[in-house]
Amino acid sequence: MADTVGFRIPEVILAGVTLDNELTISNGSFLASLFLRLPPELWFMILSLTDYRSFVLLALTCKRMALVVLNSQAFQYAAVTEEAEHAKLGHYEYLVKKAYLDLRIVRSKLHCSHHLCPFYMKPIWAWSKNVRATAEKMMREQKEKLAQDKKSNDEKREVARIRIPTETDNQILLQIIIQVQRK
Amino acid sequence: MSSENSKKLMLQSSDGEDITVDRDVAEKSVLIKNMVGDLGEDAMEEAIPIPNVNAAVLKKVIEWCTHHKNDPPASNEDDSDSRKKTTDIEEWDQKFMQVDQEMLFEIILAANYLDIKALLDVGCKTVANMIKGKSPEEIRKTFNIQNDFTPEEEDQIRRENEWAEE
Repeated sequence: MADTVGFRIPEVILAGVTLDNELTISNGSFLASLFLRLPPELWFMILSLTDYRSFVLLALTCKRMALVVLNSQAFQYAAVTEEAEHAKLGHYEYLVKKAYLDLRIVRSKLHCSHHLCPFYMKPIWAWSKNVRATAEKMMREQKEKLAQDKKSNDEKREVARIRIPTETDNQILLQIIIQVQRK
Repeated sequence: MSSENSKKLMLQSSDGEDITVDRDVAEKSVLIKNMVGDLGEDAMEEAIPIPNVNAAVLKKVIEWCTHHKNDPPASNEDDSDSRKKTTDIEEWDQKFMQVDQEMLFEIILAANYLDIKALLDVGCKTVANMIKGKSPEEIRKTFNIQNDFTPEEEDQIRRENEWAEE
């Protein structure tokens, strides 16, 4: 069933995260422990009061919450249902064929509650843009650091090439000068 | 037993505390109402065990039931409509639900176990309102969640789901 869920978090990211039922505040996912204790019918009740996207955004808060949300029957049910609705409305085809180049113009013309639908996923976009901006900033910083390191190494090499005269050098030079003067 | 006493019920919490409560208040719980119906007069004489709810939570539930004891029972039609309006929580109930996260979830679980539909609705609406319309960062702030996704992992998730990005 998990394969049909539209929203995905790569397994490698959640590997090593466990779902014990203990309430621990220290790991920062106390809420996940509380949600884990809810029986499926209460998950469905909360889902009926929110929506699929809210659960996606909840899953993005921390790894343990992601595991709790993605494994809940309510989320999987909502995902399958919304995928089916989305497919029925043909929004993906519409997007690819007609609206790909200018989403902003056509988005408002269609309503779809699917969390990944290009016509209705503003909160996910906001999250996505933030993450992308952070990733780009990190990449820029990494490039700058690499450039800085390279520059610093070049300078060190340059400094190493310039030989600072030692005391022996000075003595030799002094002897040469004396010899030249004698001549 | 006097008629005054006959209107009282004794509930025993999971941690062994006996709590006396008016029968009409206790019967906001469908579970207790059915038990009293099944047990008849015996229910008045012995403490009714509530094994899934501790004393602190049971007292909170009784406080809610006492405040709402005169509320008319909600019909199924009203119920389906009211669920859509998640922000529509009475002021008293909003204040009542201003408890720590653990107590909030305990109240929801107790309301579910005791079958008190209106309290269950209020509890679930409170949780839903805490989540709905919020970004992951806002949810983290509300619930004091520590983000353990690294920026690289978040970017990986973004790329995995990005086909529909604007």
